[in-house]
Amino acid sequence: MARRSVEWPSGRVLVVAAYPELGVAAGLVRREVRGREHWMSLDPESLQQAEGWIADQLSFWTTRADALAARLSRRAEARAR
Amino acid sequence: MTEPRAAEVVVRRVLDATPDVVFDEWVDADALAEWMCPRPARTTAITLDARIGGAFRFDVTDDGTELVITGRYLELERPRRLQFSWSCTAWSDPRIESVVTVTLDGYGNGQTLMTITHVLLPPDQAAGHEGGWARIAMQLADRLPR
Repeated sequence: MARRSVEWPSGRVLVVAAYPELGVAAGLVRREVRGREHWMSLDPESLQQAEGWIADQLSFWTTRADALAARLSRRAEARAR
Repeated sequence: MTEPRAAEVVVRRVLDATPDVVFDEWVDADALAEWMCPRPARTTAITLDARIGGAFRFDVTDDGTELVITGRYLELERPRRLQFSWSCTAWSDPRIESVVTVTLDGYGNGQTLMTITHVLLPPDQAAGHEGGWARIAMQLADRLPR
């Protein structure tokens, strides 16, 4: 199988490179069949979209987890008094 | 090989309450109104039907932006685990579907280790063929780590 080498400054891509079929299924890797050869290439747009989503959701859930923790701590303190 | 997923986010916290108390915080509209939309964001409406297959909807105002979060409950195993689908109108691609899994483990003296895992489904799968998105979510649910 022929492979196009791609450089990308993200550890996530190493996983995709190790498991190209997983990358194809996840929509991060494009596959093109030329005769007997399968050419793999990263889909930068999908990758960028996934990275953006990760950053947004990490921020979202961190804020919510903090708010829930603060709410429960206030109630625990109120009970202790 | 694990189930393909386009992206995954994990957030963990130790909380000052037992798992049953924390579980109820996730399915109580009044509780959610406070912590799901902490200031400056605020909820204008929360509706939920905490049964398997039941729907929820959070209307949120955040910095002048109106957004709506909707989903359905896929698993409700009080007090250890709950799982629901999650869509947000603020996302650029309306085809995007995701699944949130919350696990609650007893921790220390009356505390809980809460783990929130949010998985983004690959667009081609979430778009759904026969049976659609709910079936895929159920299949994914079976494969997520417990």
